[in-house]
Amino acid sequence: MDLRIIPLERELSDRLHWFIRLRWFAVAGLALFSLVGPLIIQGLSTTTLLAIAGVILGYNCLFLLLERRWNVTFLIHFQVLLDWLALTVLCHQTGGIDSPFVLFFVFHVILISMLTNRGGCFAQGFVSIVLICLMIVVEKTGLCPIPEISGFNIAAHYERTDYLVMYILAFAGVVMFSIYLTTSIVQQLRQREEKLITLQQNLSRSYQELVELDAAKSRFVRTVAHEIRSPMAATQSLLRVALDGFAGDINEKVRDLLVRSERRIIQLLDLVNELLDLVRGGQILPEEDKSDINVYEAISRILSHMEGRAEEKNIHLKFRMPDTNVIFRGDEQDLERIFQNLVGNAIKYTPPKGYVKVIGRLRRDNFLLFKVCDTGIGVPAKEVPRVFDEFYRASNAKRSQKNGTGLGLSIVKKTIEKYGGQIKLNSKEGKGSCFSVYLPVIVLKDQSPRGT
Amino acid sequence: MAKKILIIDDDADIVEAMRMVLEANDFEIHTAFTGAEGLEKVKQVRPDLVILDVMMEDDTAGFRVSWALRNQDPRSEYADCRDIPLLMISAVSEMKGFRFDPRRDGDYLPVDEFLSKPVMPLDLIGKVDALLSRE
Repeated sequence: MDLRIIPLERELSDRLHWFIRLRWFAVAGLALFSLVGPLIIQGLSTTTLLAIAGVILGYNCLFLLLERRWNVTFLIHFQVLLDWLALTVLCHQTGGIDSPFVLFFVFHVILISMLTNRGGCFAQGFVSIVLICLMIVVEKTGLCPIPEISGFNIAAHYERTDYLVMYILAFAGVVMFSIYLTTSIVQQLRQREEKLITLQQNLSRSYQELVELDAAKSRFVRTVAHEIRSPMAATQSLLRVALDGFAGDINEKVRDLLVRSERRIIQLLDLVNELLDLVRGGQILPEEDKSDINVYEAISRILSHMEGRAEEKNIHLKFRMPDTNVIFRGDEQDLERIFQNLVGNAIKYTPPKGYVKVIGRLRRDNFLLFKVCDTGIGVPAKEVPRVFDEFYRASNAKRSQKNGTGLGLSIVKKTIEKYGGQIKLNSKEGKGSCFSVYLPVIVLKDQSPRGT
Repeated sequence: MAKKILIIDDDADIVEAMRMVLEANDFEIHTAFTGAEGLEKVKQVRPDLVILDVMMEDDTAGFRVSWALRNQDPRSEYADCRDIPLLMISAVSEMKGFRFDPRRDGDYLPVDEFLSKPVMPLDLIGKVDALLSRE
């Protein structure tokens, strides 16, 4: 997911491009008008209008070339200044203060208010007012008389000085108010954007720190686990040598002590192995370490290794999965981690003559839903939310089996979530537990024979 | 004459455990505690079997010993040691999530058998006997 927000400067330069693009339309529109206008309204000069269009076309080409080299804001102001000069001439040619093109001043004011800073906008607004005033003055004084347009009594408006003053005041008001309104809103938006950028930067920094922290933690646990494992393994090897009689005969008392010691060491080794599993379960797999695993075959294999344990306790272990053509992309050891723990627990906490069922069903959203259900001791309702916590063991589990690290289900949950899956537990104390595991899978097209 | 076994492992307790088990089974035991020392002893002792740890002075010392012994170059100083069976013993399978399969991985890790720590005496004897009787 890309959280990056485009910085304001980039946005502005994009808009500059847009500004230039819009001007092509203005040139085209003006050229069209210069051809059609004079046919309808007598007095308009095609040549003059075309000349104005030509000038705009010229400087637009220039801006297109300069666009990448020059300071963005500066260029925008310069563009608008030229636009305004052209616009003033255009207004002068098409009826002075009566020209409908005067409206384009407001249009420009809004555009520039959105793109540049507030001070610059007011300055630009001021320039536009000065230009309009200048136009009125030169027209009124006759320094540069308005071309006569038939049917419009333009000169009459210029005779009334009070009207002209009103006109200038209204124009100035509209321009300045537009700048004020637009820049206020834009400023607010920018502030919000800046906040957003800061937040996003903080967020990605924190995320990066978390990822590094997690990696460091994993490294630490792996190292510690290995450092613990080596002496443990050596100790267990030595105990085995003594217990198997390679160091001479030992009496029953000593044997009992050695057996007890070995049991504790195995317990500790299990804990260390599970800690390692917990770390590995949560580690994101690089793509090249993933392989396509046929889920049906993998789980059949995993369960076949557990049948012995089930038979010992006279527990009926059943596996059913109608969709045999489902592929899981990942690490087979992760599948082992998940099912060895879940089914192992089910067998461990189910009294003799009970059953353990593993049922896989493909859902329409390409998730495989596994139910691992047993007729075991269950989990007390208020402890259900905690069973996935690290080192947590349900109170009745602790009573029923002394051994256990309380890590198995955390390993399972971490491993499943790594693949974007989910696990839920439904349980009734004394009746049994039912884990629902959702795993994302790929479904192969060809239907192989259905297995049970 | 008793068959000679060279144990190369930096963990003195593991070496001692294996020595007791193997000596009780009438093997002549030689030991080395680093990969380099191990390679020296191979030339000196000419063992019938080498038991080799993976992580010693560094994480892959054992791998390098196996590559040196199985070097296919006829000019290699270990050329006449190429056929000594190698039994690799390590906790590396748990450490790195790595599982060795001699049929699949034999090319890049040229050892004949793999045994994980802790060492179970009966497993050890079983694998040693199997490797020695293969000749």
